[in-house]
Amino acid sequence: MRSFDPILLVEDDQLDVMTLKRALKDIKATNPLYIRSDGESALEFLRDPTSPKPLLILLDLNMPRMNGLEFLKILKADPHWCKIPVVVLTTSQEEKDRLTSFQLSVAGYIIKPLTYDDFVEKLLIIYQYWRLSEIPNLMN
Amino acid sequence: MTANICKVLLIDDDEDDYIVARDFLDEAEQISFKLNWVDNFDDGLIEIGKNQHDVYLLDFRLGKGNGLELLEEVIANGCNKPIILLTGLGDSEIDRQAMASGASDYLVKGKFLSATLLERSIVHAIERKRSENRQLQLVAELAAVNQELKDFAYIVSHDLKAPLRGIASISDWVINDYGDRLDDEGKDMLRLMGGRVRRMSDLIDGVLQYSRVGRVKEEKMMVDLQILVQDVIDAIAPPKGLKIAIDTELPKLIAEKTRMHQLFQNLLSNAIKYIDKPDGEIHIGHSEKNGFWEFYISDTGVGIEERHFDKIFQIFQTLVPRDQSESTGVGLAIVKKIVEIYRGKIWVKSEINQGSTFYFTLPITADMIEVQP
Repeated sequence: MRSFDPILLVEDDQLDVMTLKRALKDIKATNPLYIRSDGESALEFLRDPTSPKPLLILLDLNMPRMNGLEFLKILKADPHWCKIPVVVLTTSQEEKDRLTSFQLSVAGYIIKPLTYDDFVEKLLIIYQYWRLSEIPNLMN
Repeated sequence: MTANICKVLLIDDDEDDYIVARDFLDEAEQISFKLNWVDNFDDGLIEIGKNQHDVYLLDFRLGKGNGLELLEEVIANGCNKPIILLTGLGDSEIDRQAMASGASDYLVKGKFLSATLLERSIVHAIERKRSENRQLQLVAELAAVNQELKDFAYIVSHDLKAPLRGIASISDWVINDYGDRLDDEGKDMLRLMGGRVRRMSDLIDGVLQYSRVGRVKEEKMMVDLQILVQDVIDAIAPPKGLKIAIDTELPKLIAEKTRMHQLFQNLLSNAIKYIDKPDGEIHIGHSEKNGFWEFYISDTGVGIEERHFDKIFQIFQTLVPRDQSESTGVGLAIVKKIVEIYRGKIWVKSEINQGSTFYFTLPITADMIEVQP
């Protein structure tokens, strides 16, 4: 992933959105960030030919309308979308959620920490990893 | 029973038996009976399925299929009315099977049967069935409420964490962004707030862990406690100078491995936490008593006053002021819950400044020592 590749954040909690934006700024990640507040509107975003194609999706699990796991099922069943790496960002410590997420081929599962500093530390590691990793050309 | 008329269905291939039953029921003194009669297995099955009678009398011999088979089939179909099996003299094996399969009573036909006996058997069967149904309903309600409570603890604590994280983040940002405009007192207040947020988060985690113990089931397997306890000790990485000894060869048992791990880990961590001397000792061992294992974990720590012996097993109860301790008071509550799930008991003996010994039992029952098919 390059520093200008778009990232899609699917998150309904406004404060968690603020946290992520601020943290991206703090780790000096300049990638354009697109935000949708549930699975359904995230799918609409992906379907819309005018939206940029995200190269990384950061996904909350507990959301209204369509939750993260429902979204993941649809995403991973699609021949184009299934290639986009998804990192789950959640409060859920449930083994069941972890298991289902990995059965749906997530690229990571991060439990949102209590403090902002811990969050920045975790986000930096994720970000550096995906900056380092080659990603298939998702435009095709 | 509507308007004190008791509706009885007789399923019997012999018309003579029907006539005898009808005459007996006509003689009844306490209750008016209305008797219907079908003479074969299939019609019996259909009629019972309609659930229009208060009690069923089943003859054992029914041509095709027998009364016992009909009994088993209608009970499997959810029949919740009493069924009385009519048998021949000396069929004690059938009588036994009938009761085991859920019949309310059995009556021997012929010269031993009388109007009084039949009436009494029907009345008692209806009464018994009624209280049996009421009990089943209570158990079902209790199970539902219990499940709700388990889910509730989980959902509440889960949903409480999100806003808490928000509070933590905002207090961080206020210090970072506006710290230069706050005086020391203002900063100190935010720092105190951060501490309380942390504590609340720990408490919520405690509720989550505690509720998970009863909620999440794991497959049971053969667990070698000797190996498991050694693993736990390695995982805890006890401080240098502390001696931990396993005194006896611990048994193997059938259990959920994670629960057993949690059980020993919490007891051992607890023992380590309250050892205040550099050269403390912890001993783990067990003995086999009549029908159960009794385990002990003893330490040479600070000890517990006797008046607190019960309190320490309650959730969120600690003996040290909150501000001086990292403890949330969940560990021993979880230990107690696990022991009780396995139908054991837990208690403590202790002397101030001498140390504490925690004892718990696990029953040696077939399902604890043999793999169930």
